[in-house]
This record gives sequence, C-alpha cells and structure tokens, in this order.
Amino acid sequence: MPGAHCAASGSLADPVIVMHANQTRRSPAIALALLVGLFLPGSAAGQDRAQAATPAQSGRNAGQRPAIEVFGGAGINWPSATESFEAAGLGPRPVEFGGGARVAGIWRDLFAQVSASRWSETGERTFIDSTGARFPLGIPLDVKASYVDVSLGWKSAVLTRSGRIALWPYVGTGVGVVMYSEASPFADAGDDLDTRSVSYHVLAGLEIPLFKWLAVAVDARYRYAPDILGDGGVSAVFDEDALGGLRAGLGLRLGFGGASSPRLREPSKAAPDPQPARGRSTTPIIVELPAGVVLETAPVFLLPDSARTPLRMLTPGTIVTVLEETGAWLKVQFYDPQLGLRFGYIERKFVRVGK
Amino acid sequence: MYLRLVGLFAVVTAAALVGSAQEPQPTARPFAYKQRTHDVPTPGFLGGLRREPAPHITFDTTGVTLSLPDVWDVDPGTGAQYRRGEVLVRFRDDVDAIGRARTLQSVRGRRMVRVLPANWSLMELQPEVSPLQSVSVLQAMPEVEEASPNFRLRTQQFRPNDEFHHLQWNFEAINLPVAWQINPGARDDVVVAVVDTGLNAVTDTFVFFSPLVGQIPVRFAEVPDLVSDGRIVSPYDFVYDDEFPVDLDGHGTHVAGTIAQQTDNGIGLAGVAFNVKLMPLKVITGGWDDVFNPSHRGGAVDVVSAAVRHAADNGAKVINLSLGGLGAAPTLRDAISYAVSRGAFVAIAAGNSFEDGNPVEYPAAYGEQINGAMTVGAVNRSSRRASYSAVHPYVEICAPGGDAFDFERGITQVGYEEASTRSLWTFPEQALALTLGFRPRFDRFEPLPLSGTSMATPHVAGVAALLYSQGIRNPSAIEEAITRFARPIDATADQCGAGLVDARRALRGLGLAR
Repeated sequence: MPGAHCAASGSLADPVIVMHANQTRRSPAIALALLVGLFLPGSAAGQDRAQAATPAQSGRNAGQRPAIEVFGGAGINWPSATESFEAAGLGPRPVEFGGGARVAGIWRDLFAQVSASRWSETGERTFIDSTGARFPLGIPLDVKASYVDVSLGWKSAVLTRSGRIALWPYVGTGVGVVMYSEASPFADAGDDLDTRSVSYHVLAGLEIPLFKWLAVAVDARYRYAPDILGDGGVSAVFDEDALGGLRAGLGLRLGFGGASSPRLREPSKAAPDPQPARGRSTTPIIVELPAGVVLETAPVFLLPDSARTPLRMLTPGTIVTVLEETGAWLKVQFYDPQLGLRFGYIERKFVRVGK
Repeated sequence: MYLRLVGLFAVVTAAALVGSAQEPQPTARPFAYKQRTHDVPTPGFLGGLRREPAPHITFDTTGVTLSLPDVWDVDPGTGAQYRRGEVLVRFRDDVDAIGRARTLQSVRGRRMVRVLPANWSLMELQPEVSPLQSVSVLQAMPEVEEASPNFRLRTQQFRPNDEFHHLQWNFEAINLPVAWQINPGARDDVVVAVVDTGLNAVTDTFVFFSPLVGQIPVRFAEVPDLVSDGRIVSPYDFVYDDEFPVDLDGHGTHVAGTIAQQTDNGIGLAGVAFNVKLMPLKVITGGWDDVFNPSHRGGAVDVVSAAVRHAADNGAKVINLSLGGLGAAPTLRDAISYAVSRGAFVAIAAGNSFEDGNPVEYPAAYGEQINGAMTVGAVNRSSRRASYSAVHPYVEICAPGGDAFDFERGITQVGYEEASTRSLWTFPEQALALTLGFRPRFDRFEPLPLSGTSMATPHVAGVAALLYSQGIRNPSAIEEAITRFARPIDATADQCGAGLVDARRALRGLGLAR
C-alpha cells in the first residue's frame, strides 16, 4: 500500500495508521472537499474525524494525527424575535447558508471548529401602535446577519452490528460574533444600523457517512445574540432584544487528514458482537479489541493447519478481530454470514493487523 | 352734529347708489344674504404667480445681466432634460478613428469632446442640430453600438419647481422634501376637511345682501393652483347654509393651501399633501361676512360641531381645525370624538394667546383627551416656540407657524390680493368703504405670508394625510406615529409636546432594530 504508515511491524498496528495511507490516494476527494467547502457554505454540519473511526481508538493513540474536515450546508432559522420578524414583514424562517472547518480528534473525540454563516431577508418598514396593530409602510427593509462561531464539541461514532460506522452524533458549544445590518431607503445619517455583538451557542448534530470522505449531516444550533435588537424599531415595541434562535440545518462534511476510512473502522465492532446472527440486538456496540484486515482471499481454519478444510474463505477487506498471534498464524474472530461470529485461524501473511 | 350725520349719510347713500349702478344687477332672492348668479366675470388670477421664461444671459447698454446659462433642452416625449448640442455615442470595437470621424461627419457633429471608457464618446453637434434626431440617425449606423442624448440627472430628493416654493422654509423644517420621496403628496382617495372660513371652489359672482346698501354682487374665482376639477368633495357653507363655501377672508384658503396646494407644476406654491381631495367647510366668518350678514351664526360651537360631523360622515379622513375660542365647547368635543370614531384624524390649533395671558382655549384643550386628535403649537423659522403659541399641557406637537407677516419668517401660501379684498380692514372700515362704493373681489390671489398656530395646524393635517395614504389608517395610530417620530427641539413639553413634526421620520416608520 503505497505511502502507508502502517508501522507496527510484528506488533499490532493501529488501523488508523493505515488510513493515512488511504489518504494519499484520495487527493481528488480532498480537492472536491475543498471545493465543496468553498462553494457550499454551511453551518456546522457534518463532520467526523478519522480518529474516532474506531471508537476504541478515540483519543487513545498518542501518535494519532487529528483530522481536518470542512463542511457546508443550509439551515432554517426559527428566530427568537418572532414577533419582531413578523411585524417587520421578514420571512419567519430565514434560510441560513454557511460553512466552516473543523479539527477533530484533538483529544479523544474532542473537536474544535470555526464556522461562518449568513442569512438575509427583505421585509417592510412598518409602524406598530400601542395596541399592537401593524401598519406596513411599503418601504423595503433589508436585514442581514452574519455569524462567525468558534465551537468545541464531542463527537463519537455509533457502529452497526456489522461493524460499519452508522452515525456520528456530536454536541458542542461556543461563542461567536454576530454582524448585523439593516438598511432602508430614505435614511438619514444614523437611521440605518450596522453593528456587531457577541453570541453564544450550543449545537448538536448527526452525521451519516456516505463514503470514506463524505458524510451528510443534520444539525441544530441554538444561538443567543443579546443586545442587537431591542433599542429601537419594532423589536423595541415587542421588547425582543436577542437576534438568535434555533436553526436546523442540512449539509455535507468532507474529511481529510488523520484517519477517516469507515471500512477500517469496522473491524473493532465485528469482534464485540457476542450474539448469534439471528435474533441479536441491533443496538450498536463499541469495542476496543485489536483488529485486522484481510489483504487477499484467504482461508480460515478451525486449527492452525492449512491441510484442514477451511471453515470459510475470507475476502479481501474483511475485518477480523485478532485474538491471538501464534507464529505464522493468527487466531481471529470473524463474522460468518451464515453462522454469525466464529473463531478460526488464518495465516498471518494474509492479514494486516492494527491494535 | 345732526347736519354732519345727515351729510355723511347722504354721501354714503349716494356713493352706494353709484357703486350699485356700476355692478351687474342679478336677480336675487329677497332678503337672501348670499346668492349665486352664475355670472362668471373673471378667471382666477394669481398675481405674481406667472411662470417666467427661462433666464438667459443678457447684455445691454446699461450693464450686464448675467443669469445661469440655459444649456438644457427638454425631450417632449418624456420631459427629461438633456444637454443641448451633445450626444453620447458608443462605437463598436472594430471602428477605428476614421470610422468615428465619418460617423461624426454624418450627423453634422463638430467634434468629439471627450473619449470615455468602454468605447463611449461625447460628441458635440452643430448648434442647429437636434440631439434627439442625431441619436436616431446614429443608432441606425453600423459603426455605432448605442447612442443617447446626454441626459441630465438630479439628486433624488424631490424639490418642487413651484415658482415660490423657495419661500416655504416651513416644508424643509418638517423634512418634507424627503418625505415626498417616500410618499409624493398622498393619494387622491384621502379627503381632508378644512373647517374654516371657506374656499372658493367655483368661479362665479354671488350676490350678498347688505343692510347698508342692499344687494351687492361679489366676484369669486377658484383658487388657482389649489382647486381643480374633481378635487373638491362635499363642500358646505354652514354660515349661509349652501354648497358654496366661498371664502370672504382668506384664512381658509391659506390653510387649505398649506395642506394641498398643487405642487411641482411650475407655478404658485407647494402643499404638504398635494394630491388629496379637499372638503372645504365654512364655519368661521371674515370681516366681510359680518358686513353682509351681521346676524350670521359663523363660529358658533353648534355650527363648527355640525361641520366636524359633516366631515366625518362624508368621508373625510383628516380634519383641520385652525380655530378656537375661550369658552368650553363640550359639544364640539363630542363631535371631534365622533369624527375620530369614524376614522378621521383631527388637527387642532393650540391658540395664539400666550402673550395675552395664555388662556386655556377650546377645542385645543380637547386634543390631549382624544386619541386621534392632536393639538398643534407653532414654531418659528429657528424651530423654537413662536412667541404667541400657547403653552399648555395639552399641546402635543409643534409645526412651523412663523412669527412674522413677511416672506422670511411667515408661512407663505396662497392668499387674496389685499388691495382687492381689504380683508385686514376693520368692520367699520369695511362697512364705510362699502357705502362709499368699494366692492371687494375674491378672485385675485398672491403669495401671502401669515403666522399663527392656524398656519402650523395644516402642516400636521397634511402629514396625517401622508401617513394615511402610506397605510396608517387609524387616527390614534397616526397620532402615535406623529408623536413618536417628532424631532426633539429646544422646548418644554408644555410648549411643543413631543417636539417638531417630522414627516420623513413618521413616514419611514420602524425597522427591525431601528
């Protein structure tokens, strides 16, 4: 495998390292990721760091390199200043576009990210009398809000029974800067507003991996941006001083750097499933056993004796859990589609082993 | 003594007879105080309000009169101004200097004045060549991509071209030019009632009955630049009880002019809400009314109240009350409340008696009690309370009222030519003049500077009409908008309430955060 960092000769190597090797073959994907990152702005959406690939690995591997991810997407806002938005004739659900970058696996499943997003709406200047009656005045009102957020969060993998990564749920929190402007025709000096303020947010999301380098993400973020509104305009009438609110979004995440091959993350989960194939629970499990990947079609035997009839032929890429190494043989646990989890022996030369 | 009186009576009678003999003698109802004759003697004449020709540079032996050079022509199709003798041409990329010269020659151009970016050139034409025609020719030429006259651009601030608009400092004071950009003069579905001394909505002769000299024909003319076809709605004369509320004073005409003078038509003056319809309701009398009809009921609370209700019942959405008195008028208060309940905003003059003891006046005192009615004080050109403007807690807003009867400091609007009406004369003077043969005529107009809270009030009424037209159709909301967006000035709340009315701010309303 060209460029593989698969060290660990003799010893059980970290599959993460193997993923580095994969990275080198993925330069078109990285280029695409960059492109999407640039042109698909989005709020914090999808991401996963290679690292966490194997839950077992998360944060455990001192030499593990953090993964870099870019993401982008769009979301719908539910502004907290609902009445003000409605009164000003602004769309009740501003659509926000944005994107960002994330460093994942800083420590264990910890990630840090910077994101930028923006929405704009055109409403109508209005007058609200003391009874709350609204009188639209037919004068356009252009409102724009841009956010730059810095977040810290935690993201773990959830695996399927077959050992594949099913989901990457994550949560986080952080601070940011809100840049807010509103403008209308016929303004005098000081009539329009262009200001900025600190904002605070919490976020949660879920990534669904599509490929090794690509995931779809849904996320929700609640942002609180005090003191932007409320000093004047209709927001003062309704006593709404915060610009934030809830945002739900959908986006894409592209990962590169670190380790990010879902396939290589799978091995760990194959082993831990102690249940038979039929009737087993679908609850994902997290395991921390050494794993290996079968490099080419290879037989697996009941005993370390190649003269015996193989229990099964394992295909390249099959993930096995390495239980024991005995000379040229490895005792492994593997998944038999017919019989479920089984034990057997496979020649060492057919398997690349991680920890 | 008796001989003197007899002599005076003889002279007066003789003069009256002579004067009467000179006038047409319409058939009048016996003992009717006022009758329309349908004798149309003169069109309305706006003295001094003629459009002057464009200024030119003139030289003569007495010296040089230098005015701005007139270098603009007008496109008759659009009214757009363009630079005389110039066109802008955009050549195609492959046209070389020879091709450009040929093009210049083909439209009798003199020279290329300037080469502009993007293949544009400014071409100067022979003086006799029309730029509009040249553009047509150029556009048909293969060398030319585009061509256009060198049109004139202006700032987007609406500045009426009325001849005497420059005298109307009061409109700048309430930010009206920018407000007109937002809402150019309201819409014609807004009716503003002017409950006042009347307004000449017809050009005709009316015969009045004078106890002194009998029937007297008096000439009236439509107020030029103010009254036009279809603009007058449900007029009524509550003094003479007819539908011709002719103005024998000029006050109502002036007030109506401030509200609705036709604007940007090159003549006369401008008005705040120049597209509205007017409902002139005559309830107050002038000196000549007293001469012609000494027993009239003009100014009585019941008459004014009836007019206010008439306005509300006939669709007025704004009512201007530039009137007041010292006696409490609960009947009028109820009428105002009724009008507000029917959706009409009411502007009321605060009163001019600050220097005469600052008494409480009515209906001014009711403005504060009724949401949808506002009591209006006056400021001078410096945006300070005018010296006469009443100071009371019920003053809710201020507007320009001026503080002198001159063009510099007064509120200039259309009024009667004083020499024709002698409206400033006292009752005895007018009566004597009448017996001596003087016949007032109310068909000659001129720009007239007046001052008072009466002049301030129509500014607020006009802004209310703009707001109504902009979409604020609730009287109390209009009051709130005017109050909220008033400009603070150097005055206490008793002097000017919320401050000086600001039409631009009120019309612009609220944004999300500003």
